[in-house]
Amino acid sequence: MAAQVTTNQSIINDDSGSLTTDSEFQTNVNSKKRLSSSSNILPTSSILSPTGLTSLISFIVLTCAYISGFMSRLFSVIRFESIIHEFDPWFNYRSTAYMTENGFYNFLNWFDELAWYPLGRIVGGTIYPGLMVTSGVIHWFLHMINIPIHIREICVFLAPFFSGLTALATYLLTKELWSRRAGLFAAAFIAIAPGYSSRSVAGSYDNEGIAIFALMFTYFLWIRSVKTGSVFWSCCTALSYFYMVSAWGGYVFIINLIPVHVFILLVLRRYSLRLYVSYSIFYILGLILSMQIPFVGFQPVRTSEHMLAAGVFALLQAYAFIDYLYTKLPRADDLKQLFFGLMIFIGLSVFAVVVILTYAGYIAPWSGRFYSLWDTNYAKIHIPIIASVSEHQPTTWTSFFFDLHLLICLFPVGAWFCIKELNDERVFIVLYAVFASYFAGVMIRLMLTLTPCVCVLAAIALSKTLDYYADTETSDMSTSPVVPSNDNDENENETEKNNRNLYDKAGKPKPIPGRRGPTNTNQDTDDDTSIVSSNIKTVVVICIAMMLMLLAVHCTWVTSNAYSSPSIVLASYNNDGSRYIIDDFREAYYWLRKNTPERARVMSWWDYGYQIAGMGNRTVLVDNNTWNNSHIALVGKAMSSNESEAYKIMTMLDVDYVLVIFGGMIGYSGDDINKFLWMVRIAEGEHPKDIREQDYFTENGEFRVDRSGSPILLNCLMYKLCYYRFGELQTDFRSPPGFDRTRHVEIGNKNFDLQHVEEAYTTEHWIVRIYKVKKLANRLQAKNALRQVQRRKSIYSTSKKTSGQARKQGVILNKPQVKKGTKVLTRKT
Amino acid sequence: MKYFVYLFFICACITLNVLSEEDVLSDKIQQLTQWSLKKPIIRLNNEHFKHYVKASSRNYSMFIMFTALSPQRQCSICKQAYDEFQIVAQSYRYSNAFSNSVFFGMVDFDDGSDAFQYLKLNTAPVFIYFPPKMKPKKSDYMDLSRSGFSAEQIIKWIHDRADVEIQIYRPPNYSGFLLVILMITMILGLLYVKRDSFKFLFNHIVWGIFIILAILFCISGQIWNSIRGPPFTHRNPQTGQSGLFSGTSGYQFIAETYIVFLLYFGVSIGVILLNEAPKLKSQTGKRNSFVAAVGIVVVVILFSYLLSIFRSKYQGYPYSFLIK
Repeated sequence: MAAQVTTNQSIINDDSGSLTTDSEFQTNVNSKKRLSSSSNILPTSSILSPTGLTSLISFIVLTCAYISGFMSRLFSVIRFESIIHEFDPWFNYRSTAYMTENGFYNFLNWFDELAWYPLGRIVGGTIYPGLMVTSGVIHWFLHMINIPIHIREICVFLAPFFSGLTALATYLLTKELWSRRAGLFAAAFIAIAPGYSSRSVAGSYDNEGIAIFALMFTYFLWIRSVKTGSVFWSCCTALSYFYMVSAWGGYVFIINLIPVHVFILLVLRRYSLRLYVSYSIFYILGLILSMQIPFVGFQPVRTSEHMLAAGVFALLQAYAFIDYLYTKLPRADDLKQLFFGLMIFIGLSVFAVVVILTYAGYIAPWSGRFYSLWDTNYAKIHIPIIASVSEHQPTTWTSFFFDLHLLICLFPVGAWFCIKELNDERVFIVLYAVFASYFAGVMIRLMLTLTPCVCVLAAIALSKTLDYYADTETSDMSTSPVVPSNDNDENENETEKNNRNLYDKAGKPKPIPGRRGPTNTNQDTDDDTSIVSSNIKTVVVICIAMMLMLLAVHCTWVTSNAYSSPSIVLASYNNDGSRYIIDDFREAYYWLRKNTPERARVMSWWDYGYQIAGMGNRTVLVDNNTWNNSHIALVGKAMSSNESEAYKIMTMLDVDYVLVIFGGMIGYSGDDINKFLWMVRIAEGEHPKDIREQDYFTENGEFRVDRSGSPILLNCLMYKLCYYRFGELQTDFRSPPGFDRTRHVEIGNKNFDLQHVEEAYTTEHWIVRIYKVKKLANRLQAKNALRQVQRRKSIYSTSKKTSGQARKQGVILNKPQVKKGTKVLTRKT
Repeated sequence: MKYFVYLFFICACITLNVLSEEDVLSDKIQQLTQWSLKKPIIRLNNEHFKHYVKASSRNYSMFIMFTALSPQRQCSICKQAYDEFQIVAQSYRYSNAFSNSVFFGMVDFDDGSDAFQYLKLNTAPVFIYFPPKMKPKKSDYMDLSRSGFSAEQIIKWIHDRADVEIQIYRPPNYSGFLLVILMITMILGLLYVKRDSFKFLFNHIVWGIFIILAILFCISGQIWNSIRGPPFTHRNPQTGQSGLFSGTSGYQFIAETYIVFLLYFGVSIGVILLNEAPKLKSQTGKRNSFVAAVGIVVVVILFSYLLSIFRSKYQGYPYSFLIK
């Protein structure tokens, strides 16, 4: 609640700020047109010069955008606590903590033995360290000025902090592209847009949180350097690009979009020396810098993803040379067609060289993840592990609307305006719009890269519209001296009303019609130039204000309801509205941490790997860094085979504990049974002989856990671990015992015993169940005792004569020992 | 002595029998190999089916498609299934795995209705695997309803059943290639004809419309459609009513995305009208005002309609604007 109030307050400030900015800027514009009238319009501004006031107001608006961006992401901290969310953030947090304890160089050389048992993982060479370094630097700085803050707090609040910075970067970019007013709108939009806050709420400590800032800032610097052609700005671009490379794998988007921009500018004959300078310097510096990241290494010169940049670089050099010749040669105009042909020839040959190098094997072809963006069915067929992740699914129109609301409607209009008044830098934003909207359509996760672009273009569309419609000066000049005093009253009224109704951002320009409506009515009758009547103007502004208001409300609602759940701590609400916290995950991980041997190895599905390592501090077999598909498939196979088969795999992998997530007790839908088919699919991909997806369906092709379910499913390890002793439990007096509340069926296989594993721990709501894998069992005594006697004789009677011990050992008959005995025997003879 | 004669006689009988059986088998295999070399899918009629497939003495296995290809049967998917099956058989025929122990056959309903009766089939197409020496079990029927009949799935099934690895080879589809060539030549031709004035290429309006349509195409979920292939509209099997919109936010129909496409387009037009209104030339301001009013009405109505559709799809969404 506290957060909400603060948010409102800040946004309200924001309103009044931008409102005044609008009118202020118009003042500027008009003052240029009619110098005489400028003094009339703003009598109160005599203290401050108009430009000074404009920048003050911009400053206030940006501060408010920053604060509202920060505040609107704090829902989860206020509702729960300052906690790291979900899965990947736990790994990031763990490695950040490692870095602050052991120093940067030890971090780069860190071999993590808690993951991927028995393989381990070289962390320094397989991550983008930008995130850890950023929070490490902040931590170091705060400690230097004697603020003893725990690294976890920094990790939790890093993403909101950076989303404020993103708002500033977006402002700068939009200002370069269009105008300062559009920039203020864009900053306000990006601060609250759910498409971005989905990945940057407090506690979601992930690469994307800082990467979007780096992305927007790089683009701003790039536009700046194209505009100015200065070496300084392009060096800055390269540095910012370096930061982006260190932070997120999405840097590939930058290194492809900027070359496309350059290429299109060449095609549009917008080549200039500015372009040449900025791209050449950016490419060379950016190339060298990006290769300093261990994870990236030589990829920028060896993979197809980066070849577009290299090809365009070569092309640009050729173009510059030909352009130079063209200016120097006498009668060059006659050779125009020759130059043109030459250029096309060079372009084609550069392309051919890249293709030949790819075929020759010098350049790696597109990686599967990248390729699946173009061929949308690729991942489904070839890489089930990518297809299994929900954020790699394509996007429905509902998701677009959910994440962007009004902005997505204004988005195409902004693109239209940019195309109509095209210049070098607007080509860029249009290209960005086209590519980002395609990628966002293919993969829901890439909505994140689309959101800033949508905010920029929607802000452009809106500010262009309001430039005219919120403009008072064209219709009434005589009444304007009255306006300021009026304005203040109205403004205050509005603010109060906002506070009462909790209407965020209550119509940025809404107060304008309020004050203008009555003053204009006597004016617009004798208004005979070709302009829109001020009544209509008022209506337009009110309508837009209401829609903006709705946008703000929508954004807050979405961020609060959909994106602020930590997913480690669950909350359920009773009928009377009281809240009930379900904290099973942490309970289980804490149990693991305290009650198992330090070197214990825990097998679970890969989703929980990072959490077990981060919170439980135990070794896991597979985790969310899904680099080794066959290892994951092995775990999947163990989960989907029957108990004795699974036991073979588990002993092979040295598993001590098995952990499963089970939601049937309280109706938690994200549990392992619901993910189970993916385990089967991934296992089938590697072991098609042993695991068949078809076996897990009923005759009618349904996936059921009740009595009609397929017997193979009802006897596999995952089923048994989830439902062990569940049949004895009556969750509700109306339902039979063993009623699964997630799938709403009574389970099919109830009273069974576990042979090779034993229950170790089950949390309060049964969400996490941990089983201990038994050591190899004693052999069952064979029915014909004769055989035992024979074996005992054959082994021990010759080598050892101690009969009493031998008999005991003979009864146990441990197989490896027996073999060892024979080997020794043969060696002796 | 007598017994010896008997014994000899019996032995001779057995060997002869065995010999003749082997002869018959090798004859069959020879015949089948010959056929399949000629045509990858062997067309079987009633007698052939009885002789080569139904007979229990077999040491080769067969994959047989039961289908109804003649046009009066009006089985449209039979033709597609046949094409896919043909691709598989063709790839097998020219692959290294080709041997005389696995054959591909096909029984058309009009040639071999007895075979259909014998297997109690009343649907087509059906793919059945006939393992050597045995009758097909339930698991030897390919499950078309789940896996579909694409060549990849058929190959997977074959690999499953008979352990034959086939590398698929699809004959390249030249029609798309030709279309592209045709397009390029047309464009080049157009450019050549219009070579004096390239202005239309630099026309912002044309490019603008093109780009906006591309953006709208993406944001209205058409990519989702092309990946997931939803039906055009929803038809309720009980009431027969058809609904344009799906009730959940995770699913959509094609018709629905078209509507959304148009709504976005309408809103865009509305905003553009708003911006064009002051620039129109007119004597009084009335025309401008009218255009602006139309613009804002279009924007507001369409946006609130969009919001109400969204609200109906997203359960528990609290806000609406003008239209519930």
